[in-house]
Amino acid sequence: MTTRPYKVRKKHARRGEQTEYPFYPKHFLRVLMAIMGAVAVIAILSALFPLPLDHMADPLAESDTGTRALWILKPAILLGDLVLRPSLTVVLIAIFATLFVLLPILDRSGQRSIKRRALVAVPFLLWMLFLAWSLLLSTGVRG
Amino acid sequence: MSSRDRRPDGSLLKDLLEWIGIRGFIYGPLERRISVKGVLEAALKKPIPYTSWWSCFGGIAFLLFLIQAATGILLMFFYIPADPEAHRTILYLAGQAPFGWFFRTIHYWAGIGMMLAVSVHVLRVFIKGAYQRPRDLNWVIGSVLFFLTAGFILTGDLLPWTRSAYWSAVWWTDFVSQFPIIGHQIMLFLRGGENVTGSTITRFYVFHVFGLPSLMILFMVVHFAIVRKLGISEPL
Repeated sequence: MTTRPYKVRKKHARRGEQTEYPFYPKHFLRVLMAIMGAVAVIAILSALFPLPLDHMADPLAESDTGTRALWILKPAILLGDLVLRPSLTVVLIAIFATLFVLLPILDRSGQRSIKRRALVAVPFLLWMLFLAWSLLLSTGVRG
Repeated sequence: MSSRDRRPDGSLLKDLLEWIGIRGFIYGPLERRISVKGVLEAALKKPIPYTSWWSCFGGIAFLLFLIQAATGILLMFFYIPADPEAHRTILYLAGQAPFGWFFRTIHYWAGIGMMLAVSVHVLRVFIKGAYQRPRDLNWVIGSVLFFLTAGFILTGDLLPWTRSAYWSAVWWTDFVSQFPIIGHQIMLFLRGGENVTGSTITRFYVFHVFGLPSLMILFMVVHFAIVRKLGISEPL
């Protein structure tokens, strides 16, 4: 199971052997093991790190000092800090989201190797790097 | 049970035991009507190309969605989507309800895990170039599922009605309002007014427990049907 699949496939194809296998048992058991691993991680995290509860919201409060931004918003906050104009930031995010959904229309080359899809791959991977960077970099604490 | 169904070597007691057992009572009638065995065999023996561990993240995301649904239903038994009951019921859940803290924490971590699993799944599909024809429609549906997952996190965050959640909701709904022409209308729809109040909790709760799950299930069914039809993409 640890062998790299494309190498195995090439090797088998060279020998004229079977390049496919039934869904059950190999792939089924692999997915099952991965799922059990994920459940174990979630259960351990839940047992070790119970979710703290912040103070109750006060809609009359005027300051957000000391509160923590939701982690999923960090890329948008960071992009907003870089672009400076909120209206431009929200339009940029909407454009990125649309391009992301419509990727198969933008790239109709039929090429599967990522090296031959550089025009699409580079911006996409840069965007993913920005997301990862913003999630790790920003503490999200306000004030 | 007709005499035709009895095996020639079986006694009446044996037939009766089989009939009241799981195999006879549930599996037997199902098998006779919809041929469960045939359907299962076709699904399990379907040939697929050699895959790696990276192919498991779609399945992990789906399982985490099921965990979210199960723990979410348990949390719904206690939660009241209003100001200030929302925070009080969460306090009760976290402190007094049996295993309330555990299910709430699992709900939280499974949400993060689901977003992570969906992201890795998307990245794998992109790197493998598996979004191209004939799987182009499945990419579109999958990317909608990605945004729906983010929607779950955005709407679910406000529900405990904490200070941080309040200011996050204020920030992102205000951010959405900056969108030209329709931004303000979207913000009013999301907040249920000009400000984030108790009616915003109710709206986010409806999105979180009804709107988004309904869309999610609908898109997932189509996503899985297309995967089933076209199969897993070939390795590079």
